[in-house]
Amino acid sequence: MAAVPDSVEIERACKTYASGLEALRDVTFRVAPGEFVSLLGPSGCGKSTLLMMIAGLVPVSSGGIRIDATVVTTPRADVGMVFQSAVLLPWRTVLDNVLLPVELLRLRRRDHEGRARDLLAMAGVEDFAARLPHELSGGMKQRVAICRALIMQPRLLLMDEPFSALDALTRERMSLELLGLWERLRPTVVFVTHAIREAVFLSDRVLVMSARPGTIGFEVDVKLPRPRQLSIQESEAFNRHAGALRRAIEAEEVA
Amino acid sequence: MTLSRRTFLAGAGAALAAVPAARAQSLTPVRLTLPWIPHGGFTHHFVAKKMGYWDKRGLDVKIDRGFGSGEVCKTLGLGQYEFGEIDFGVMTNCVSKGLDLVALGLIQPKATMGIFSLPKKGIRRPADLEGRKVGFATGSGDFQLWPAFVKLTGIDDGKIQKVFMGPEALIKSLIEEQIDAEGNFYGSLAPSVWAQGLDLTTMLYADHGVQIYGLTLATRPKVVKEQPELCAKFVDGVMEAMAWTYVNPEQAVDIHLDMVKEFKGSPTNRDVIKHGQGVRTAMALVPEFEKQGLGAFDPAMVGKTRETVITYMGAKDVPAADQLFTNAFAGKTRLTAAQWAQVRDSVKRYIPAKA
Amino acid sequence: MSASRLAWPLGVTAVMLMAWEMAVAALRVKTVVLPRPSAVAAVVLERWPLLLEHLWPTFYQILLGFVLSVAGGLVMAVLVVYSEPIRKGVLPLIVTSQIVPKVAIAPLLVVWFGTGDLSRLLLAFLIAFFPIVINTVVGLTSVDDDYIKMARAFMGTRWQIFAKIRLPHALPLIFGGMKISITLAVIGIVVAEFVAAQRGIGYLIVMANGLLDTPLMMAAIAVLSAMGLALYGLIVALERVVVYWHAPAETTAGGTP
Repeated sequence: MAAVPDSVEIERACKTYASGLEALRDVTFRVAPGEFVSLLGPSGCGKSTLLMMIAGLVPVSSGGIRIDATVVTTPRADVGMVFQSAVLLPWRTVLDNVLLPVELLRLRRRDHEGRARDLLAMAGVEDFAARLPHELSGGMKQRVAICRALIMQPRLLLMDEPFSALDALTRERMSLELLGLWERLRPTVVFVTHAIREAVFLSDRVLVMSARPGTIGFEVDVKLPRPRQLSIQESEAFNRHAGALRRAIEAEEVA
Repeated sequence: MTLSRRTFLAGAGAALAAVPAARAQSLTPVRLTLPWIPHGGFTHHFVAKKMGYWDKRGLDVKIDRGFGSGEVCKTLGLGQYEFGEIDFGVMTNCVSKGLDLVALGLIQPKATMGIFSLPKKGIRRPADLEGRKVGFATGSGDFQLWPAFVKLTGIDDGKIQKVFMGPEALIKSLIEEQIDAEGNFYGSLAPSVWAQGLDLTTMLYADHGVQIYGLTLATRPKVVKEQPELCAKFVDGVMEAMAWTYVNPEQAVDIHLDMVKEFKGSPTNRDVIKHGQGVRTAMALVPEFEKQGLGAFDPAMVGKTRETVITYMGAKDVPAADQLFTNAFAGKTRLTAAQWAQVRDSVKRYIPAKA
Repeated sequence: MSASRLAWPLGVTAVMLMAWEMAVAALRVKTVVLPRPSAVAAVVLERWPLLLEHLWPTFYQILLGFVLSVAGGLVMAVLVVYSEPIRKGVLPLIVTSQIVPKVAIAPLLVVWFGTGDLSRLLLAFLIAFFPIVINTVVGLTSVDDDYIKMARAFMGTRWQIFAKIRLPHALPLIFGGMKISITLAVIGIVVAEFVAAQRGIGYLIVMANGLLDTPLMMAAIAVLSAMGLALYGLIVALERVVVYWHAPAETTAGGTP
């Protein structure tokens, strides 16, 4: 049983690089505990940068980011992260890759090995536990990466376009599996994507980010029931949400 | 050096006179370096070791190969060895450059540097070299004295094409006729060429007016001063072995091959060692050995060596001749007139014919 | 290394040896210049105690020189990566020193350190440690930024990142460096033996050459080559075990079904 999930508060976060490039300006939003929120926007709008800042990997230039009311300065142990590519260590088995966060926190492997195997089973890759990453397909590797992000039962899960490198069919299937995993553990999720339908399918709320300098321009509450099946994409409500988001994005592009 | 070499060489002589006869003691370790690989010219050392001429005097001598007289002067001068056998001319040059060395027993009086060729090339006199291709080992002693040879024979250096190579390539180059003639050392070159069944035309520098001593035992003056008995014992062992080698050449070769296993094997190798030893013996047929005993230096010749080195090796600040050697240890071993005659007869084929 | 892959180079070698044997006989080449392979083989068989006696000190020194090179090279690489003064001040000097032909300084080493083992080990070290340094530095610093980001996201410290990510990532390159290094160590020790030794295969080669005993010289070279190959093969075998995750070359090279 997971602990109480984190809340995320972002208050007028700004990011300007040393080169003078202003990546983010006055980004303000909140994520409630246990909420699944997507950041939607075109490439280069700064949404990945924002995620890195929430993760504590990149410092804010001004403004504040708080997780669970604590200001973020460095990475936190209760936050899990999934990147665009799986970034598995090639010399470690699938199981050892999942257990990497355990090792980095200097905890005992065997206390967490059971959970690692459970996660792999939930992700459908338990047969590959002893294999090396180069023996897996892209989709499978990303599943392992998700298991790794979940091994320490994070209260906040950050995902940076985790499915964008996969083909459309795999992508759909992964979305479904992600929801399955999420339903069991219910961390707070901030999910970055440029795919409108994916955002709607997964999220409770979708925030649209405008292009450089990035800021939150539009918000959609996705009032679709859970658990969701892939077929929900044909529903009228789904398409209404998707349409609203598309028009918002197009408006941003014109502006 | 604060004390003059002259002073303590004289002192060494005096100390020697006062030394009591050697008693049986536990063996003192002594390190000896040869100037090159242990080929036939160095048989006497292996005879000394095998026949116990050093053991019976209380010395346990370890024999190392060297890498050219120049290098040996350095290692010897730095004290890495107690004794070395080196070229007298090179030693003098090194002394002028600050290495402290002194000669204490002459081994091969006649220097064997010269110009050599296969008989078929028809180079019998120095003048025949004009218009021909002559090979030298880079940095060798024979090339350093080539100007002396040129001057004393009056040949035109400009008409002679010179090529340079590593010492290992010289012998093969000559045999394969890639060159017409080469500068080398008689004792190193001839044995190998003869063992291949070929003959050699020889023009020794010494036979054409170049005055320079050949190989000598040497050490640091400090060793002479502080350990004169050691020097005496060591030199005595060598001289006794040299005498034995002159008189028992075949057995000496056997001993050599027994002690240097790398050279055992083919009959060709045996010939090379035998010829090398023969050449060395032939080069010792000099008046100072016959009259004053083996190893003795003729001070006048030392002086001429010194002048040759100054003139042709560009040496500056060379100490006076009497500081370069000591006769305190040599001259104790002698052969009888009959023995000399026998030796002369046994090595007459090794005495180069003069054109 | 499968049997069929081995068959090709062995086959070509056999053909070359036969051609050599026949050419020497037909052209009546003097033994002193180029002996027949059968003559060389005969020497190897007859005089193997002598060859072995000299091979051992050479082998032992090569191994020792190599181990020192690897140890020294790894330490130097870590210093270069993590210490700015060393990277800016010392590394350029090391690079420049590599241009000096080591054989030229061999006689100097003898003068300073004598003709014992130390001079030769030093020479081998100076020649062989550089590829280790360079390859290790590249290996440690060429880690994709994504890995570092990922490790930091999961609370990795600088030391953990070094030990768990940079070091394993560098292993394939380190082994590449080791393969070069062992070859250089062989060359270094043998060449040092030419100019500064009282025993060893290099010493035997010079001795044999001095007496124009070319068959013995070539027998020594043959034995030396065999030893060099064996050492190289050892590193390759070790690499297979340690760097197990690299996809084997056969599958990437293109084409065998």
